[in-house]
Amino acid sequence: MTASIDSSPARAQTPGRENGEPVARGVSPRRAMLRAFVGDRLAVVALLVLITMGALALLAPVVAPYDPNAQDFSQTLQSPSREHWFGTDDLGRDLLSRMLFGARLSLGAALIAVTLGAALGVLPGFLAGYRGGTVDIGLSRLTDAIMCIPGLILSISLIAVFGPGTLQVAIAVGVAFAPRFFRVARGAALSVAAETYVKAVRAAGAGHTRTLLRHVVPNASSAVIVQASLMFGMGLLVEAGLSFLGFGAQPPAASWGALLRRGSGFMVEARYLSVIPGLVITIAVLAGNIAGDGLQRAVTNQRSSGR
Amino acid sequence: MLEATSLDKSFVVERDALGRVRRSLHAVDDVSLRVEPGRTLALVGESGCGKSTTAELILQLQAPDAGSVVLDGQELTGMPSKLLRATRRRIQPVFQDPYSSLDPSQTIGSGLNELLAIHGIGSSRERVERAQRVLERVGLPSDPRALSRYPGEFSGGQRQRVAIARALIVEPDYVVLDEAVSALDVSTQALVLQLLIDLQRERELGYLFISHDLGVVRHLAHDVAVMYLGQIVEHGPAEQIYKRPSHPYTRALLDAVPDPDPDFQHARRTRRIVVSGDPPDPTQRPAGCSFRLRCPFAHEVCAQEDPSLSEFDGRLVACHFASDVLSSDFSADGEVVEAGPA
Repeated sequence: MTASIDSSPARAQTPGRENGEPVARGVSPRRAMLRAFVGDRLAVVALLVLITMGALALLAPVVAPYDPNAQDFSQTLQSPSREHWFGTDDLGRDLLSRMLFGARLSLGAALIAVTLGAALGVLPGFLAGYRGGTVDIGLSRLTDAIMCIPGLILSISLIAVFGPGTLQVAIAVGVAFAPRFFRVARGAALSVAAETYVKAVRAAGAGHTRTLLRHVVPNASSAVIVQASLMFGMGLLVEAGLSFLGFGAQPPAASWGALLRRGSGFMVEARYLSVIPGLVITIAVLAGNIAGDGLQRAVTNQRSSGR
Repeated sequence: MLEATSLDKSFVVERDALGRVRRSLHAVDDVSLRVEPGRTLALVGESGCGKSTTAELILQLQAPDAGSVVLDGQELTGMPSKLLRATRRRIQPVFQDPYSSLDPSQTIGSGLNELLAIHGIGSSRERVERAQRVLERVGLPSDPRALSRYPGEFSGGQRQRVAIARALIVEPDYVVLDEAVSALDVSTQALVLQLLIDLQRERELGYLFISHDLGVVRHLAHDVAVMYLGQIVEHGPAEQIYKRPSHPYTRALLDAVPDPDPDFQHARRTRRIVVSGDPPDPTQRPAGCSFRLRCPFAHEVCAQEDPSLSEFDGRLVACHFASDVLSSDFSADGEVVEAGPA
């Protein structure tokens, strides 16, 4: 601000400037949030881990040293070695290759689940939070009803109808996630709807559609993005759980959960067959949660300094 | 002319198990106001007295339970929302908190542009020009870079100028200023008030200026309405009300405004009216006059009969003892009449 209009006391009262560096000129709240996230080392590392896993999954046909389904009975239950970094299973298949191809199923299923959950839950949530009244009551009761059914039971019954498979699992998990997205979106929209600027644009003549899309959605969406990143880890875990129970990918294809299940049959002879998939699932879920937490912190920091 | 007649609004505070109203709050009780072009009506009262609800009723943000809001002969209450949009352009709001009244995710320029878009004013180039002109008018930088700034980059006083620019850009006839300068420090307050006064002269704007601070109101009000627990207790020309307050509540509010002259301040201390206690729970308004429990003038009649707003000495006042208040040199340490529950 070159031409300062107000006297200095007025400027000094701007909150959030005293304890941090001033927000740079022309920076949108979203950019400020991104900046805060990048400053969070641990969260950035976690995100990089996830990106690496995603890239490896995409490149699986290129980087995998062996055909994931090729059996070699001269090489069964080999411990990790230079030829087979993660060892081989009872049919002589290379575990590393199977993990790389499994990543496509596991990460893909989690991604589909989160996307579907958000697609089903977010817009109704925004609508319920913004409009309130009977719209809110109706949608919230519906959500409550869905949430009464435990997620696992809901997923299993959906799989019972549509049959096992990774896509079916992803869809089932997505449906189970939708109420959570609804609730987060509703809460965020509820608090934005109470802001004076919403009242101000309404009084200035803006209609409900404009107010919802132009003012409520942009300001409430960061909470939803945080929720989505946290749900990703949960999606991975639920997919692994359902695959472990045998509802997911069907042989010979195997997601991480299915590999863990198969490995668990050889706990004595070949512990690595279960330890490695278990470890990778843990790392991926942890990375998802840490990145989500980092995003959450970035959003809160931005909110407290951006006003 | 913007005219509100007998506005009434209650809120349900508590319901019993069967959904029947157990406690309700009569936020606005038979309030009538009139704002004329080029003039300022100040609506004054302590927080929680229903000032802001009155503003929201006039801005058509809430529907009144009874009463009407009429703009130049056109009834606004119950008007279909499509028709209402055109009249909304003519009555614009400025709210108190400069930190929450601007959308943090929207640049100043896009916010101003949006208001013009809502009312279908101008081509996109004209809109930018208008935005720059109005920012310049309220004393903010108006270069293209300023338009692309976010509210987070402005100070409180500047934000309130942005809020005023937003109200002005659609060229309204009336502006409802709800505690528009209350969140600002004193020096900024004076600058913004002067801006409001200048704008009013230029554009013949009618202001409904809502404030809890009679000291601030004095600078720009032509008429003053004093509100207590949802009711107007005194209403008349500013001059009259400031010089010759005739409702004990008005008198107390005026006596609470600090005076820069220490001698006057000292002299006044011996004869001013100090209102004791908090306002009563608005959900349980006392019978009779709602001010009587805090009023040093209260007599038995005040508990029995709610004084109606009536003509007295060139203004409207709702007090049984208006002439006593006007002529009194009441000492705050003197007898305070205890009025028992009716």
